[in-house]
Amino acid sequence: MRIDAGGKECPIPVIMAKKELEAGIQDVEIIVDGQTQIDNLARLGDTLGRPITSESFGEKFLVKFANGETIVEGAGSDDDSYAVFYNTNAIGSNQNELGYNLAKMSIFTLSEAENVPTYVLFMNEGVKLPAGDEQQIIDNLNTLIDKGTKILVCGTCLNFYGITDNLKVGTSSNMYDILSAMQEVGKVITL
Amino acid sequence: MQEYYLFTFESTHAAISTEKLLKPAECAIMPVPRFISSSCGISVRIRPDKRKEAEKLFKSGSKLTSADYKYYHIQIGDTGEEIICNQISV
Repeated sequence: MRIDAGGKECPIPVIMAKKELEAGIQDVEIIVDGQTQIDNLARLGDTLGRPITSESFGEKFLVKFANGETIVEGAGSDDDSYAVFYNTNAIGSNQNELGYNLAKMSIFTLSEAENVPTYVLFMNEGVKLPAGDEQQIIDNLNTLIDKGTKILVCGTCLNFYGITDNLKVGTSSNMYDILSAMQEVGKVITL
Repeated sequence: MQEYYLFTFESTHAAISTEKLLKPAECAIMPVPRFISSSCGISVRIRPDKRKEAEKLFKSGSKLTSADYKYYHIQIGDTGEEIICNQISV
């Protein structure tokens, strides 16, 4: 199949090609104006496992995608693992009583969930949640630990706020472990 | 079986003030369960063993009128499908 994307600005040629490739169409060729479009199509081809070759085509260029099976992103992924990231001690940017109570309630709801998070991560002011005096939060985080969740708390942040000794639940951790945890799971939810 | 007592509220402020009032009775805040509807999404949950203490605190310290809140006794079967939810008075 040959697509004429001559005169079409980015990202139109990519969208046109992607649609055909994801449908599993073979012998996909696309006519484009210049090098920028070729570069973008090359990245698309690499991502989808269908690398390109390109050649001059009059004043334009003809890009050909290799035949084969298209790797569709995210398809068939059954990774429902997730991490929840608290970077403040409240949900929402205004640090008020409502936001704090929403954060508290979200931890309760997570502790009752069937699919509990693989990790709950606390950074910056978020560390005040597991190092605070709120018994409900401590209890709910302990419930999560019992259900297999790992709780990682930024040690640098505890130190900054002078509450290192107040950590009541979870593991004092570092940037390496917290970022590794984020990379390991299917998705990270920031609250 | 899971059993607890629950306050729901017409306003978020009422929910937050009640949570503060009943904290000595080790209350917990939770989202209002799906089987109950109320204006405000925050509810305050009381364990059965803390019921008397919580009700006493509420009666002596709360400024809410009966229109501002509802109070329930909730029992949930082990499978989660059987739910008994009765509105009661404090």
